[in-house]
Amino acid sequence: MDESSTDFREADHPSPDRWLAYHRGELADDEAALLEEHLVRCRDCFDLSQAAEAFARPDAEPDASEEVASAALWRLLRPELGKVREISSARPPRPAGRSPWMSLAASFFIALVGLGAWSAYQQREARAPQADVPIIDFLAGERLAGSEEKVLSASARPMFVFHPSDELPAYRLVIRDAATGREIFSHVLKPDPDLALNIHFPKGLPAGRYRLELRDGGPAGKVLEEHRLRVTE
Amino acid sequence: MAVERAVRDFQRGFEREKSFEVLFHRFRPRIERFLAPRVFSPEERLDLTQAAFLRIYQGLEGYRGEGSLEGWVLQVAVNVYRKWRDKQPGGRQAVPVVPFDDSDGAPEPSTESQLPSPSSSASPLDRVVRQERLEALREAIEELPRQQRLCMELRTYQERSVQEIAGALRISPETVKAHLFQARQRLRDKLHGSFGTIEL
Repeated sequence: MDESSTDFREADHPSPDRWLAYHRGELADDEAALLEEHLVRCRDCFDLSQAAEAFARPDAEPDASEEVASAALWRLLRPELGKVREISSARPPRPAGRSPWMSLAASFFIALVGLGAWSAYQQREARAPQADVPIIDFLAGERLAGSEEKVLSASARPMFVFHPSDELPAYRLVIRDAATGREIFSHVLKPDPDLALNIHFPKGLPAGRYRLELRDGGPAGKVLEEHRLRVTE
Repeated sequence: MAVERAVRDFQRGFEREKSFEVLFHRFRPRIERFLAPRVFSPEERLDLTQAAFLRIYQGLEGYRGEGSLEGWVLQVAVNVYRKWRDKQPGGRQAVPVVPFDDSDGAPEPSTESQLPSPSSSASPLDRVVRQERLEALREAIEELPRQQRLCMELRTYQERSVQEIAGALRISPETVKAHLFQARQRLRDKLHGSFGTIEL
């Protein structure tokens, strides 16, 4: 069955919304039949379908004990939300202006420590937030919603932020031409303290359609997430 | 709708906690319904529900409304569940599933496990015979009527329980059992000529 799973990784997986529609009986018979055939061969989608089945069931009227349980969980959750907010705000501010003194100091530093330090500086610069940088968030769950496509202008100098669901020490971002599949960019990304992956494109991206693959860190790492991006003129 | 408005308020930074509470009360029962039969205890269910909502809280700002909010929440919940499941000793095979409630009450082994297993001591001839039997079985399953085939494939290849198959195919557990019974009968009849007695 591993082979089948690989085949279906390449194919379009039905989105969560399609599974919800299936379990609510909103799809035509032939479309429902296609989803059922997919289900037999795709373990990942089986999980999604099971969740959709639970979501699609009508909610019961909450009784008193249910309301107490819900309120209790909310009381537990609330302080944790505050922590999430603190972690988020502990990120470097975006956008942040760069002072000319910083550039001067950086240049001086570069003159002192030579080419090696210059290279390291450049790498840091590439990840640092800049003024007027559009931040594009890629969520782990978006992979399955095959038709979703982020749109961006070629003049933008975007920062991509990935929120992988795995907790790996390193990932690799591969950008491919969507039409030909040709690899045009590859870079290793390491999670920040918030477990997000940030990468800045200071020169922007040329117009076109792209497929972004987030892979595990190895050279031939498996694809963990796929996203689509369209860059307009 | 109240939830869509709550998302907009959340994303604008307006009364974030209050807005998020609206989402929490809407989706908590659905997430718990999904998790309840798949975890080992109520405490685990609550922990995972909480983890799912923390993920939702983290990601909600980036939600752009390309798909429905419900679909997005569902995907986050599934991701959180998978992450937990994959960390369990034994991975996905170890986590609870709704038990297989067959008529004889005994757990049903998978079809492949009924066949002689290949081992280092198996002769090349044994391996060829086993391969042929598997091929014949796969072909025979392919030829079953559609519903019987789907039930059999989910049961055999994915080792899903009757309850899980019923949920997935939107039919009753009794219907699943009937399909499986009839499918086994057909397979026995078909394969008997080729391989003698075959346990399914």
